Order: sequence, then structure tokens, then C-alpha cells
Amino acid sequence: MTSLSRRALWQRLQDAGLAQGELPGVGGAESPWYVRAMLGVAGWIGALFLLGFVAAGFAFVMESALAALVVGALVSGVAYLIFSRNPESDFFSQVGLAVGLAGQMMLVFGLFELFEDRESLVYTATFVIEVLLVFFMPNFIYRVLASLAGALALTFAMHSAGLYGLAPGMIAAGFALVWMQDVRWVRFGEICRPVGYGLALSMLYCKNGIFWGRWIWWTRSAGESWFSQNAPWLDKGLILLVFTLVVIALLRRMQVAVVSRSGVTVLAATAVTVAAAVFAPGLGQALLILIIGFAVCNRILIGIGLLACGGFISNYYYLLESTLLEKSLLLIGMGVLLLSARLLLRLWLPSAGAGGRADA
Amino acid sequence: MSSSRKQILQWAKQGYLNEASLPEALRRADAEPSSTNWRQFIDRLMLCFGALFMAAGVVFFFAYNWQEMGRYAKFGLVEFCLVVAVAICWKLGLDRLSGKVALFVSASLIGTLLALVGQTYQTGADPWQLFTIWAAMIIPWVVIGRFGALLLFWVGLVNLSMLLYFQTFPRFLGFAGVLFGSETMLWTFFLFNTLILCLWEFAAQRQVAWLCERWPLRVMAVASGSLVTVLAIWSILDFRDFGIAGPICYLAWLIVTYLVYRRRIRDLFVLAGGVLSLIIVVTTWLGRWMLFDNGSEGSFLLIGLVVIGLSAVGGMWLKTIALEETS
Repeated sequence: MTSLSRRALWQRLQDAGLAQGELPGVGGAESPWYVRAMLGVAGWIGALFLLGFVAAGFAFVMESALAALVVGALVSGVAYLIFSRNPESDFFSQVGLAVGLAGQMMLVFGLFELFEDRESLVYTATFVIEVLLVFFMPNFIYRVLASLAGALALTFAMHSAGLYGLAPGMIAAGFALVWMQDVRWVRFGEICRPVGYGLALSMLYCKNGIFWGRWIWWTRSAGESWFSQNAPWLDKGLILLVFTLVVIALLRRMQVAVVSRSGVTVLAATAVTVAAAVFAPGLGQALLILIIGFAVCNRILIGIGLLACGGFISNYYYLLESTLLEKSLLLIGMGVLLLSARLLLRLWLPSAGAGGRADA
Repeated sequence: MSSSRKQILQWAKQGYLNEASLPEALRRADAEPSSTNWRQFIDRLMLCFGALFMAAGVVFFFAYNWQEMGRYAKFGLVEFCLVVAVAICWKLGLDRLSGKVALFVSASLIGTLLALVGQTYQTGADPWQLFTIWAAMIIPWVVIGRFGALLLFWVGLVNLSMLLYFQTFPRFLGFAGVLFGSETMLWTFFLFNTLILCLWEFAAQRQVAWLCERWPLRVMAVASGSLVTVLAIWSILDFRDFGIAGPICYLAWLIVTYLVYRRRIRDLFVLAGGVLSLIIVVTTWLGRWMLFDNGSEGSFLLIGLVVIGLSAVGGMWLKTIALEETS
């Protein structure tokens, strides 16, 4: 945001009696998302070489679970000190990021060594550690990556424990909660925002999600159970429940009565979306990210949502649950329904096409 | 809208705004979507998703190759869809988003029609020919459409045609390599995408309105940058076969990128990509030099520190430019 628009914004709030005094200083300016993404990737590369250094120079660390856990914890502690003592330094932030990620990898390595074949224990412990790291490590990029790792660990943990179909819904609920409460939890924004991005990225991956996510192939299944038989419905049901609750929360936020013309229209559209998403796995997550992104005016989330929608179509093509003919009929039906609904909406609520002739 | 919201939340966190009045502050600053914004958003969502689902549905339908349906019925169906899409585009006009979306759908249906011809008559044509003819047939629509996304789609089709061509003739023109491995293929992709990027940027600088949007240009810059980075990496890892053309071209690309996107156009996204590319290439070079023959633990540490140092300095430099732009 330019200094001119900051001043104009502050002035507008002052005129409304919501702000007093002089315009606050710029403070620690945030970097754009792509600079952070670049730093995150570079941090990973740096961390891999630091890990290589430990593995080559101190082989005993990688040969013993206890040593890996202790050294990993110590290295993570060093990263914490670097972050907390130099919060404004870009250089030390990057050092801390690489050191912290190396420490995190050692911790996870130690857990795999410690629990060996007990997968659910490995992933549960990884999830707990990632949650603690997200909470304590005061660095945005680190928190995004740790949240992503934590969400994936949760998915694998539940899968290996036989609790199929629950994790995607839980992650979607966490994602919705974090972003929909961004105003109420403004004091915790430094934790909530990176967690929100991490969960959004994990939704691109997870089961019934979008890119590679139809199988969690490196975890063993825990055998037949109620969860294994009902996982697809449980999975979709939870996500669509979250989607519906988000729509209702948005209606309340907009002060739109459920029984009003707008309220009925929105709920009818939600019902159609939910019905379509039952047969089209991944669509629910994609629309959830997109709608919440728009609700909180976040272009990055909208971008992730659009990416998820594209991923949904390509993933859907290869899905074996139904034939290409059935899938094509569903897609064409949804397309006809959406385009007809758009026309009806323009007649029913004329201001829907407020974009006018340009509608662009 | 997005930056106002972030700024207001930041002020509230710093204590300059009362948390209780935050919802009101966000409304006053237009930092929350109004009901009109929502209606427009839902309207566009329904339009774009409706068109996407229809087009994808038609592709899925013909990919299924339903035997019970006669070939005339199949051709009639896809041609009917094509005519309807073109008619909608003609009726609505190309200045409206809905008209452009209809044109996009028409362009995708041309591919379906060509695939159906191949599927029905078993023409024996290679896949690269299908995509090449498809790309050639929609050129007039790309020109009259004046729609950045459609142009990008066309560029994607040409890239896919080239990829399939190189897969079909891996040894054509005397180069030895299969699938992705060929130097000539990488050079061809790099030159094509860079040429498109240059022409597109040139048109944007000449204020050709429909080519001024930054996101498709960034996609092209990512394509060009990724390809030249791969060329440089391969030259480092396989110096004898690849020669020094890759590194020289890479250095030239880096300098031109800096001059164009720092001095003339100012696009931080492309500069950030350039920094990441540089880090990757330097890391590869150091790894090749220090680790391949007699690597030691010190080599790992040194390379790790170089990566950290480069990325930290790069991050600081990019942040300084970002601050320059906002001040």
C-alpha cells in the first residue's frame, strides 16, 4: 500500500470517528507473497545442505533416534533464538528459517527412527511437534511450512489409525475458522494468517483434494472398519457441512435474513453446489477456498482457490469412482444449471448484473 | 480492497484502532465485500464455472467414446455446441466477459471436434498434428478475441504441440535425446516462449489495452525463466555435451531481466523469480564443483551458508524495491 493511500485510509477512518491522532509509522513492512515464496524455497534448499552437513560430519546423529531428536530440538531452539532476538533483521530471519527447517527435519527423522513401523505414532507425534513449532516459532514462512507439514501429518496419522475420511473435513474446518475469525482474533494474526495459508496449501493436496491426493499411498491402511466403509461420504459430508456453515456465517455477517429474497437465493445456490459437490470430489474444497478468499479480500487465497478449481477438473478426469460418461453428464448438467441460474438471478435480483454491459 | 484490510488489521493489532470498532472500520474503508461486490462475484463465478464445466463435460463425453451413439450424432452434437458458442459470442460481443468466455469455449470445442475426427476415422495422425492444427485453426479467434487468457491458451497449445512433436521424433534433426532430455528441445521451448514474452511486453508497453494485464505476462516470464534455468543447470551438470551456450545465454537472460524489470517495467514478481533462479544455479554449480568428486561435510556447510546468504541478500534487495514502489 502506498503512503498516499495509507494517509487517505487513515483520514477516512478519522472522519468516521474510528481513529485518532497522527498517521502511524510504516513499521515493519511486509514483503509481497512471491518474495516470501522465494525465501521459503531458498530456505528449504539451505536447510537440506545444513542437514547434509550434519549427516556427513556427525553421522551418529542420523544413526540414533535419541541423538536426532535431541540435536533437532537444540537446532530448533537455536532457530527460535535467532528469530526472537532479531525480529526485524531480514538476514537473520533467513538464517533462522534454514536452521529451523533443518532442525524440524531432524526431529521428524528422529521420530521415524524411534517409532519405526508404528506409523500412526510417528505421524501423531509429528503433528504435535508441528503444532508446537507453529505456536512458538515467530516467523511467517516457517509457520506456513510447519502448518502445511502439520496438516499432512494429521491426515496421515488419521489414515494410519483407521480414521478415514475425517482429516480433510477437519482441515477445512480449521481453515474456515482461522480466516472467518480474522477480525475477532486480530491479536493472534501473526499465528493465524500463516496457519491459514498452510491449511489452504494442504487442502490442495489432501484426500479427495486436488492434485495427487486420491491416495495416501505411503501409509498402510488399518483394515476394514466403519470408517473405511463410509470414508467417502464422511469426507464429503464434513466438507460440505463446513461449506454450508461458512455460507450461513457470511449471510449473518452481511446482515441478510435467511428468509429474505437474497437469503433464499443464496441458500438455494448453496444447496445446488452441495448436491453437485457430493458427486464431484474436490469441488467443495476449491469453492470453499475461493469464497473465503473473496470474503476476506485476499487475492492469494482466491488464486489458490482458482488453482484448486483447475486441479479439480484434471483430477476428476482420472477419478475411477464413475465412468467418463457419468462425469461428463454431471459436468454438463452443472454447467447448464449454473448458466441458467445466472440468467434467473439477473431477472430475480436485477442488481446482480451490476457490472453493466461490460460485465467484466 | 485487499491491502486496506491488511493495513486496518495491522493498525488494530498495533493498538491504533479499537478492536470493537474493527467491523465498522472495515466497512467504512470498503475493506469488506459489499452486497454489490458479492453479487458481481457470484455472477462471474457462475459464468466462468458454468462455461468451464460445459466445455470440460463435452471433452469428457467424447473421451468416453460412447459406442451406442452414431458418428453423425456425435459430430452433430459437437458442431451444434460449437455453433451455439460462436452464436452467443457474436450476440454478446467481444467487449463483454460473457462474450469472451463463449469464444474461449468455442476455441476449446475446436479441439474436441478435431479429436472426434481422429477418433472416428482413425486418420493415423500423430497427437502433435492434432494440437498443431488446433492451434492454427484458432489463430483468427485469438486475434479478434483480444483476450489475454485465450492468447495464453494458444501459447500452451503450441508448447504442447512442440512437446508431442519432440516425443514423436526424438532423433529428428540429428540431436540425440529422448523425451525431455534433448538440448534442442529445451532451446526451442526457451526461444519460443521468450519470443512471445518479448512481443507481449512490447505490446503492453505500447499500451495495447488487452495485453496490459500482468498475470499472463508473469506466466510467460516463469516459463522463459524456468527453461533458461534448466539449460544452465544442464550445462553445469553435463558440460561436455551441452557446451557453454547455456551459461552464456543464462547470464544474458539474467542481465536483460534485471535491466527490463528493474529499470523499465518494474515487476517485482519477475525479479523475485530471477533471484530464486540465480540461487538454484549457483547452488548447482557449487554442488558440482565441491561435492561431485570429493565432497566433505565442510562443502555442505559452505553451500548451505551461501544459499542462506544469497537468499537473505536477495530478499533484502527485493524488499527495498518494494518499499521504493510504495513510498
